[in-house]
Amino acid sequence: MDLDQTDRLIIELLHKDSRVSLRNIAKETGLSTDTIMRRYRQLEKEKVIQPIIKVNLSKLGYEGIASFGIMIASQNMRRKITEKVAEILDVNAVMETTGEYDLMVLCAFRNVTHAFKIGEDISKIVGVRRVSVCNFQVASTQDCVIFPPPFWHNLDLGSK
Amino acid sequence: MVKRMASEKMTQNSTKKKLDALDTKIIKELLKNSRKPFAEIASECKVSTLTISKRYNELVKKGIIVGSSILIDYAHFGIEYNGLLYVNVNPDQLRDFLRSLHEIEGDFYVLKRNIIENYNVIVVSRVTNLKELEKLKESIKQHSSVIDIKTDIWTYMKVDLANLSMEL
Repeated sequence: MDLDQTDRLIIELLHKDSRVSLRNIAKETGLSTDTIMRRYRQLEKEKVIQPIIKVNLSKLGYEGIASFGIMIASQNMRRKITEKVAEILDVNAVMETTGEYDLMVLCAFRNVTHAFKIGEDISKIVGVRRVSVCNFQVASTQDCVIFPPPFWHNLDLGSK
Repeated sequence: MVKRMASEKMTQNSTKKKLDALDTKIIKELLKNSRKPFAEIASECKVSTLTISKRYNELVKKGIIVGSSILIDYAHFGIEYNGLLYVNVNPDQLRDFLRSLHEIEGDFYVLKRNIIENYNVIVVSRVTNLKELEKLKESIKQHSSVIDIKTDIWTYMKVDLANLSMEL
């Protein structure tokens, strides 16, 4: 899919607030609501973007985000293991990586016992060779790693 | 009508209490798609749209829903992966180091965290090729506070924010 300045502008505005009405985006960009609507549907259909809410994890009973590094037995099983790990409750993201680990996992944890239980569940998956705790982070949102800001900066916000 | 009033009353009471199944359902649906129409959630839960919108406003008021954003698939922009640089910075010079990053060109952002391992700063860069990452690494290494840098590359990322147990 070709993404032009208009698409990038829409993405940028939605990154700040994905529940904003398309009519407001039209107003802000000086484009017609029809155009914005068509572009938005296209972006959604091509899975360029997924609109999500941000929640305060601590108010949902979580202490923070834990990350685990995983080593796997065979690279052929990588995607399959990724899918399996992602199924474990409270796992929010699985990253396939090169470097020290084969996979990195981010999960929301209620307390340290809960975090270790998740680590244990991961280690039971067939093909997982080793699970190491990399980091416990007291955090109220998942921000940054999972939804980093658009990489293009200094975009001119159109005529309006 | 009576039923409707009863559910409305329940909504009012719930503001002072813990979250219930309807609240967690709303949170999960919006974590999957923040633009999902309230009418759709309402019909799935067999309650009125007004109930959903009241609950939503309460969740915002309580500071549970704090905003909204989008997940972006950067592969559509020719960005194939994230490059991560784990940097071990002399803690006394941490501030100075972070300030110096502003002067470095490139598309990256910084995660500063209390890491158990030996690295106290993570620089995440979205790169199209390894040369770019290497260049960024060299620029960062220049700073006198840097003790060590480790590189890691994310090639694929699966995210599911709604995968929360929320046992309250």
